[in-house]
Amino acid sequence: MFSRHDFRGGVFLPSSKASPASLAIQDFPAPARVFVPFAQSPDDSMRILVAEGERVKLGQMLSEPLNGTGVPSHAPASGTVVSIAPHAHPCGVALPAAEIETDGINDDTRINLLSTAWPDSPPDDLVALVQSAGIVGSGSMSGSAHAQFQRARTAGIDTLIVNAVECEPFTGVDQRMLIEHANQVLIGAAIVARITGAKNTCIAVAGKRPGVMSALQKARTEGDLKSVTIVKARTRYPQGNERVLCTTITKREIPAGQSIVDVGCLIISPTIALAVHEVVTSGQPFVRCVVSVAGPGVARPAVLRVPIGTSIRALLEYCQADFSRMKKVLVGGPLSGSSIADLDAPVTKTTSAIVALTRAFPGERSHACISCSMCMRVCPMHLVPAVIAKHVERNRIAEAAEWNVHACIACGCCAYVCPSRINLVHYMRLGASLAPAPTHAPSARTARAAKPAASPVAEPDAGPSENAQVTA
Amino acid sequence: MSREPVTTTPSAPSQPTAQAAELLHMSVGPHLRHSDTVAGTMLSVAAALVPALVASVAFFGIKSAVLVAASVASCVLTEWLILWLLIKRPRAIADCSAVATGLLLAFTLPPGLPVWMAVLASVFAVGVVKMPFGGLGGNFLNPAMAGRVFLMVCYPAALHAFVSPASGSMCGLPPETLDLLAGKIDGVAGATPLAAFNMITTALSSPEMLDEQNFHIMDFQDALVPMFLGRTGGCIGETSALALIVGAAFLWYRRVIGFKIPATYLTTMLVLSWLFNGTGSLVTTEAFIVPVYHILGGGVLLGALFMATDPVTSPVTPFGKILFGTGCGVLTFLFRKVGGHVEGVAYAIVLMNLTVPLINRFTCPRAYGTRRRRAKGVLA
Amino acid sequence: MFRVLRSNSNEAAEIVRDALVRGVFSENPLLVCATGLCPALAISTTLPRGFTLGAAMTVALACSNALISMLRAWIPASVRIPCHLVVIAAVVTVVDILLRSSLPGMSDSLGIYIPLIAVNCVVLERGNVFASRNTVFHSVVDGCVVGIGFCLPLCLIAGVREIVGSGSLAGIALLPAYPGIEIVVIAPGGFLALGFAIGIVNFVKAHRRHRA
Repeated sequence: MFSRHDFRGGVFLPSSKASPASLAIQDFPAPARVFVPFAQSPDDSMRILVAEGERVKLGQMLSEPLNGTGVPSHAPASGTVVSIAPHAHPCGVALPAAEIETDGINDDTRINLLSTAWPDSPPDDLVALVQSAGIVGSGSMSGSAHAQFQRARTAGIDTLIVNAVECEPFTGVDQRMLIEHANQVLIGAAIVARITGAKNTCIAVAGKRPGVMSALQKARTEGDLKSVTIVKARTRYPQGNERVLCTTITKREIPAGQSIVDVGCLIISPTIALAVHEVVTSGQPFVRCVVSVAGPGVARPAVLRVPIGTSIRALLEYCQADFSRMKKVLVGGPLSGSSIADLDAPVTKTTSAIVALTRAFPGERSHACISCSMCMRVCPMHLVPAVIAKHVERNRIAEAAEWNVHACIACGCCAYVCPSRINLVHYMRLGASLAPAPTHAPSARTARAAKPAASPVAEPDAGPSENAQVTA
Repeated sequence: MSREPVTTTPSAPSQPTAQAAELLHMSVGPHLRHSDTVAGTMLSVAAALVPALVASVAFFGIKSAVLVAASVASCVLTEWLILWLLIKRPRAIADCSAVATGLLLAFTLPPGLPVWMAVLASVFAVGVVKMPFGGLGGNFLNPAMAGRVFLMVCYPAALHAFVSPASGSMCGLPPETLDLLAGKIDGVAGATPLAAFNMITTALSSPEMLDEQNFHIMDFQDALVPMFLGRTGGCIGETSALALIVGAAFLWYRRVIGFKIPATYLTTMLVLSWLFNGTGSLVTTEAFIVPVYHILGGGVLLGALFMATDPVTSPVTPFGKILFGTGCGVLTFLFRKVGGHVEGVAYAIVLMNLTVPLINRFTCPRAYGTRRRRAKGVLA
Repeated sequence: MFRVLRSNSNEAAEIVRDALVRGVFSENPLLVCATGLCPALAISTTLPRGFTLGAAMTVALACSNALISMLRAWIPASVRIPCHLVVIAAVVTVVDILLRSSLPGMSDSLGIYIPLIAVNCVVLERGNVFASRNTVFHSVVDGCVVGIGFCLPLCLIAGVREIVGSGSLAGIALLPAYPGIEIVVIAPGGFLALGFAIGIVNFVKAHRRHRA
């Protein structure tokens, strides 16, 4: 039931003194203006359903996707649509967004619920419900949730993992969600297991967080969810990464170019599980997300339930950020997150942490590589980043591909420990983008997933009849 | 109501609004860094050598400190001049690698060496072995060992003119044993324990010496404690094994050196010198004293703990490190037993440094998600 | 050849000047083309030895180039190299005998390296590439300048090695009580000195290209 799992490599990051996991979730009221982006990324194409001047209710659909993998966006608060124009976005490119002037009434519309309870509903209906709620994953599980569930269902997975492992300082939303909403998270995970047909469900927790284990235990016994396994993983970054966690728990490796469903697993975050629970039991769309605001540049860190579209500046002001000392603002953790330039960018569905740093790394020039092999020791993918970086620097891309640059997950452990301050992640990403993509014979699961879904009824024997070990 | 499909296309990056006047840094992650730096690593090495330096000043007097200072100063000056005049990056001297090179080079020299020889060796080590190959990270040999080899080729007599320590005899042996040895073999007095030991074991292997049972290798065990603490003759850094072990433990704690290379180097030396101990058997007490002598005598501890573990000139991969340590041990023992020099460590380490690119190429680890080991290509 | 000289001596002077620039600087056999390294490494320990080898090489080059150029119409292309070798061997044998009779001590000191000029790639390359396709005058000039281009750096390197290694030049002690650096005089010093010489040439070339 309880087992200790680990992987080779990784770094122990110093944890912040007031970790967000120890702060209670506060509701952040909708500000006067919210800017709701219609699409999640520049590649999505959406049909906009509202016009300027129109009044919208909370939860009203603002746009719908034009292809099968997109998700709709909903209004996070009731109000009037003031304008539809490109607005700043954390990805760096201005995307069209609806500027809504909130009126505080918050009359809401709900999505139509299913006629039967979820344990008896057909999985296709559940998938449609998930799509209509606009649920999207973040981090290494990015992409629309329903598309992932569909792929997992057709590929046939046997293990569903809820990833509540957070090892970076200044982050802790997933663990806080477990402490406060363990029951809903577990029910949401059970719903996803029903959709995807997974036989084993487990929830991965980082080692030493007080309160998480007891909350989970209580939810398991109360909610009669004994089939969920709790797995304690070591709090070593990047334990929370999809590939690393899959290998830690199931001992299967995912070759570069394949995805996690190809080895029979699916990883979801507690945010997704909670959102699935909300939409299935009460029809609420995904309009609010829980965001932690922390870092040395913030005087009063907090964990906030924020309507999507709130500007990051408003959150920082609420947490008493010192704008004069702040040098970098990150969306995501300090190692895996990306820095943003425009603080007026809104909180999106994939935001889970905002970190304000007062020191801008890398601050000094890099020295030559001294072959100390620290980067090799910490790489979770067992690569030798120093060698690959040297090849990419000298434009020897073919050698970089030979040294498996495509296996890099850009976790940043190598650059974190490098004493010469070489920007190894930059070279690895450059090499991966320049090198030709790896060619693998598609696994049997991928071949099944590529076939169009024939009938609404899920294939009953889609489980893993092949060997679950990875074949390179 | 629905409209025609409006495809959302990316437009120009958003311009910050008027109130967004903060200047924020943007970069590729990671946005945190560990506190280890190259300068910190090199200064840790220097700090780890301080106990041995203190011990040598205590045993040999101020001349060893003068030699160390001259070596460090000339290494730093040479590197700074080349960086300033030829490479045009004078601030790269701040990585403190020249300081570590100077210290290590001085530790391989006998304390009575003329200062100009140490300066010459430093100029060679930095100006010929390190800087023309790219400076830090580019040298193909350990610069300190290469400087020592340079002196061994040019002035071999000066390197063997050992000064007896202030207290204790050259060999660390009690006077009665010294007389006994002097009666049997010429030239024992004035040599280091290793030289004396080599002469003894070579002489003892001849049949007529074995007949005379008056001398026994057990007489040598009195010298082991002085060799461990450092009251015997030898080079500046070689005499006090205790100080070296303390320094290396500090470096291991700071994660500057690993344990693989020193452990395999010393284990190989111990095993080989036990197997070929020259007393004719493997289970007597002498058979177990001989290996300890080989470890404590000469520069094996300094070489195994500080020289062979130099990150630039040792393999990167874990299995490669084991191969490297084993190779160093085998070569050192071979050169001591069969070669002409008393000391085999310098040449052994230099030779193994030359094989490091090959070792790196053939011992690279299996990457995640792959089955085959990468086989082609040369390490950059 | 004499007809060429008599009729247009200006042109001849130009040929000589171009050949000098080519042979000594831009296509220097030792430092740029990196040919003839083996005797250069072994002989450049003292200045007289280096100069003698360089002079012998120049004489051999000039004579063999002249002969090969004179015979170029009669040597079939398919057996070109063995024929050239025969010619070069004959020339080098004559040079060797002359050296042995006139400077016996130096000849003993140089040892095998004088006869080895016969298979030196410098001589063979110039004969094969240049002398077999050009007139006698051109070939002699080329042989002389390539020989000078070999001799000059060789003398420089030998001089430096002798001064640094033993503190003397051509046997005359320059610095009193100079302890000498043994490694410069033996084989590793040859590699190091040659490497530094080629490095300096490359550095100067890169610097000029950067400035131009």
